[in-house]
Amino acid sequence: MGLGMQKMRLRAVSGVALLALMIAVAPASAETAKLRIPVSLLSAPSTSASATGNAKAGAAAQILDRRGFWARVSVGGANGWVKLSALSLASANSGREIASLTSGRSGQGNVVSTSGGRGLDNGADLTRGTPSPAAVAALSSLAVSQDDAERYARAAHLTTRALAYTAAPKEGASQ
Amino acid sequence: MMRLSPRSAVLCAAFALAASAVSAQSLPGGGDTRSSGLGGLLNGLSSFTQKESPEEEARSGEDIAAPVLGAAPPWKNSTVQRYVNLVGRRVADQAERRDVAWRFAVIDSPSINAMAFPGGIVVVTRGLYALLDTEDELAAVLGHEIAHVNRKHQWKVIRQQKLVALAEGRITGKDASKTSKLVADLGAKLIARGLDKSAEFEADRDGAVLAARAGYDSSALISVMQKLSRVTSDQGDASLLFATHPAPAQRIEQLVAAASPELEVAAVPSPAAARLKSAHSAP
Repeated sequence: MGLGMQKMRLRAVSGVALLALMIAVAPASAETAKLRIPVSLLSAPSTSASATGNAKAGAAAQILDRRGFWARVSVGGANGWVKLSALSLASANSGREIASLTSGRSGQGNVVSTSGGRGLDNGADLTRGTPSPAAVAALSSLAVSQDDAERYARAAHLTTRALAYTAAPKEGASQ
Repeated sequence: MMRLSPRSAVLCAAFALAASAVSAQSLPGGGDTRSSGLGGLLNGLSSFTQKESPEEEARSGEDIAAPVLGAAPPWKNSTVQRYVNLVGRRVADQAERRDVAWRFAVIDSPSINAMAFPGGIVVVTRGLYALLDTEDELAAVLGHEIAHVNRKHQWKVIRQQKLVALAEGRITGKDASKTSKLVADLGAKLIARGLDKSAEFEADRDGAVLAARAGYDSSALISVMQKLSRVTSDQGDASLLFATHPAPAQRIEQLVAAASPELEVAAVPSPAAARLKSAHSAP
């Protein structure tokens, strides 16, 4: 086998490997987002991680991965972790999302409704059933006691946390 | 969000006045208004306003749930039903309300949705249940619905509309079956129209806290929202959910913007995360 042939095979193999890597790294539908503030791209999802680069406010970011309240993003060729709160998702995604959510289903353009104003058609399948008080009554036989739930939680090694409710973010915090 | 006709708004204002007058009357030293004509009217109205009780709320919730369960009965899978009740009850016990009979069910509908009813009935459709991968995600979905009940989001709307119907003479409060029918109709409309956006964001925030208090991943609702934003028609019909809730991306943004440092620390998979899959595969 000539050297040229070996090189070609190597290139083909690495091409396949690269493709496989790309598939593994990029989720089936990578989400796009926009940076709302200038950020440091971090090497790990932690504020104490080292910076691997910087990105400017307004830059387009591909979300590659998410862990808790962090996202690993690709911005202009650089990769790193940023707080999810640094990303604007709705402005970058709303158009695409609305398009994908309506395709082949409701067929209506405006799927994002804030409050009233819609007819009953959307709820037809679930609210137009013949009332079944028997099915409602049967729910009680499925219910479990607080003791059951506590036993279950202990077996699953769930431990409670003392956490306060959070307040609504200020207007404009997520524009 | 309820929209009132001008006439209804006037009646509501009358009720508000009546309620405050009645509570003033019950204070020590408050003047006795019973003898006056106005007092008689107020006492009549107060019999409506004083009726609110956990029992009335529970009855209304059952009236609203009846047609939903008629359309989509509980899925005949006792293992999953018990599992969902264990997880649901675990999360619900982190909420403040103790006057609620928590009942959870996966209902046999291919559409993708979850609903809470006044009084503590919470249902998840089979379509949504099938989208979930971990117990943390289930806890997040149930937490959102539990939060609606804990804050009486639906009940406040239904209760107010019921008072308007009483004031307008559409129901008398004596004919129980007529009242049940009216409440079921009001509930169906609320399900189709959805709550106010702010109530949904609040349920997202509270639900994440309730799930995290129970020991679950505080960020699991984000996973669910990501799935919802990518849902394809072969996974089920989510049109009602999308028609009645803000867009998933907006919900993630609001949740993230509100998260406290303590909540962020709780964003780790729970030791129970993998249990959902084993409940799935059980017969």
